[in-house]
Amino acid sequence: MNGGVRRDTAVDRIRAVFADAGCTGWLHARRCADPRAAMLSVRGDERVVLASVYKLPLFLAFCAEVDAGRLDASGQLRIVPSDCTPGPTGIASFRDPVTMSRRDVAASMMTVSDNAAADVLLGEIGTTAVEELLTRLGLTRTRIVGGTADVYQRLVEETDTRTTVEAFRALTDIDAAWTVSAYDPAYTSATTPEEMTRLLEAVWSGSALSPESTAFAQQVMRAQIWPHRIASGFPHRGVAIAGKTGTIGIIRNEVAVVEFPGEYPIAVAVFTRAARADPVLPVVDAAIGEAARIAVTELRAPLPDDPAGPSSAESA
Amino acid sequence: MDLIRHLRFFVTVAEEGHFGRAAAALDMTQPPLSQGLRKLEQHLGSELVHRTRQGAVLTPAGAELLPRARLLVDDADRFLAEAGRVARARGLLHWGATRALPDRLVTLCVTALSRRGEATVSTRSASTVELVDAVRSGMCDLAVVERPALTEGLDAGPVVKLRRWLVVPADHRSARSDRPRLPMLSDLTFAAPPRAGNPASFDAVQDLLRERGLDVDTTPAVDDRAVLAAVAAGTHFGVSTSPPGAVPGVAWLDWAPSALALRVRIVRRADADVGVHVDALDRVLFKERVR
Repeated sequence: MNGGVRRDTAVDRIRAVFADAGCTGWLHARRCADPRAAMLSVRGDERVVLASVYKLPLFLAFCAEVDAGRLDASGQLRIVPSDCTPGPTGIASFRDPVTMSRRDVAASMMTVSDNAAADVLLGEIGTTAVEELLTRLGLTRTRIVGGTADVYQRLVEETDTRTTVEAFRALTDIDAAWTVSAYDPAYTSATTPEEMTRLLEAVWSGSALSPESTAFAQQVMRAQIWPHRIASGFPHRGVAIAGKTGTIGIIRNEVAVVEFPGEYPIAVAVFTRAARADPVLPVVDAAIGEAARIAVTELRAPLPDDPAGPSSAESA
Repeated sequence: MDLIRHLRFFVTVAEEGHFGRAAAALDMTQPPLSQGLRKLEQHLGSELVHRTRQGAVLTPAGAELLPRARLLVDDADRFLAEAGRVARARGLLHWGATRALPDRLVTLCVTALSRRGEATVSTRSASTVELVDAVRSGMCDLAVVERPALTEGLDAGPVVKLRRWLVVPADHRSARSDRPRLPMLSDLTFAAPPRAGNPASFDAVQDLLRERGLDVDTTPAVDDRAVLAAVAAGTHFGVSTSPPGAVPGVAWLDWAPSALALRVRIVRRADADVGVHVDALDRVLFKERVR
């Protein structure tokens, strides 16, 4: 290399953020609906574990089924929480059975990562519908092998425990170094960061779903409640973050579209694996936000002036 | 897959009839043994052992395959001894030791490595991040590094716990207390290894101290000597794997031995032919571990 002062590139800075947080990181970012197709990648073509990010393709497949007329979005479902995968949020945390519309179940799955809601939707449409959507969009390296229930069941088997609670306690034991299939993209639901931003781009450009479903999907994704990962990188007024997180053991992920007013939306997918097994690592969550901010800042661009735009005289 | 290693798991479980006893006989913990055996079963495409509440019982397939597995394992020991002699003829062995290891353990490791014959052992003392890089690039053949650490792409052995103490100024009130509590150290600064040397283990120690009620400033101290010097100055405390000794101005506190223990692992490249050396280091670490 030549000497002298050299400014670190965005890619170098993102790598440094991951190293400082004690995690391995994969990132891909893409400007949406822009023919210039600006992108940024840090190992963005490598296979990574989805964890609960799998609920995003499941959600979009649900929307596609509604578009195709095979499902009634407002149809009522009766859900018995005790029959579902346990989880800390949403219907999974309820004590008593509930009756809800399909689209509210879908929204609960996306906004609070409701495991019970995901079980119900996966049971309604099946992995085949998810595969059909992925194939239609050309996402050949994304694979959904089952829901959270399957992952938890395998975790219990592989850690020689009897319950999900015991399995997670074993996973966070700092003296054991587990290599469970839930951490291995070859054995569990997996994708690449690049395919995840391509999926988000397909939604934001309107090419994946009908206009009604596109608006519904965007609105639901903007309502996700978690502030600690990608959203933590954009604490600005007027910015919308439409995302889905995923967490299991050492794995912490989020994929999101970052929408600055008057600018192109930018899709960003961040996947990490931490060195520490501790169940809560704020330093890694914050690193996901920081890495996303560096990537998105690099790609931000104003929307072209639209001569027939809403600010023109006749619309006033 | 390391077939011989996994066959050894199978043979030992079959002989002991029990996962816990087999793990003890192999000088390892139960989870990697159990996982290893499952991997072997997947690799072979048949179940070898029934896991029951009473212990481990051979399946018909397991009973049929056991004699041949035993032959292979026994022969492998002879083969490894031979391979060790050949490898030693190549000369220099490069290994790395995290700076967190005590001197005595480093020399024990060197002795164990060089006992394998004419090989000259070259030791690199560095931070965990530097050592992982060195093993990845081939500058080191193997290394003992801290856990937690990012070891992606390398083979990492089981986690071993080593004794670690709090070191405080000899005239500090915590040194005179019968039951020293961590918040007593709040008037001192923590002389800690530089965070960049391994952010994950730095954060883990800091989180432990904060969890137990001590939240203080840190100053970097690159190794034990720097830690002890800062402590002797009366202004700092530190953590050290050096056992209590005659160091003027420094006192050792026996505090939370299990939580504070240093966790280490042996790392190597998956394709590196260093099995005998890993085994030698494994034995040393295992003898020195805290239970």
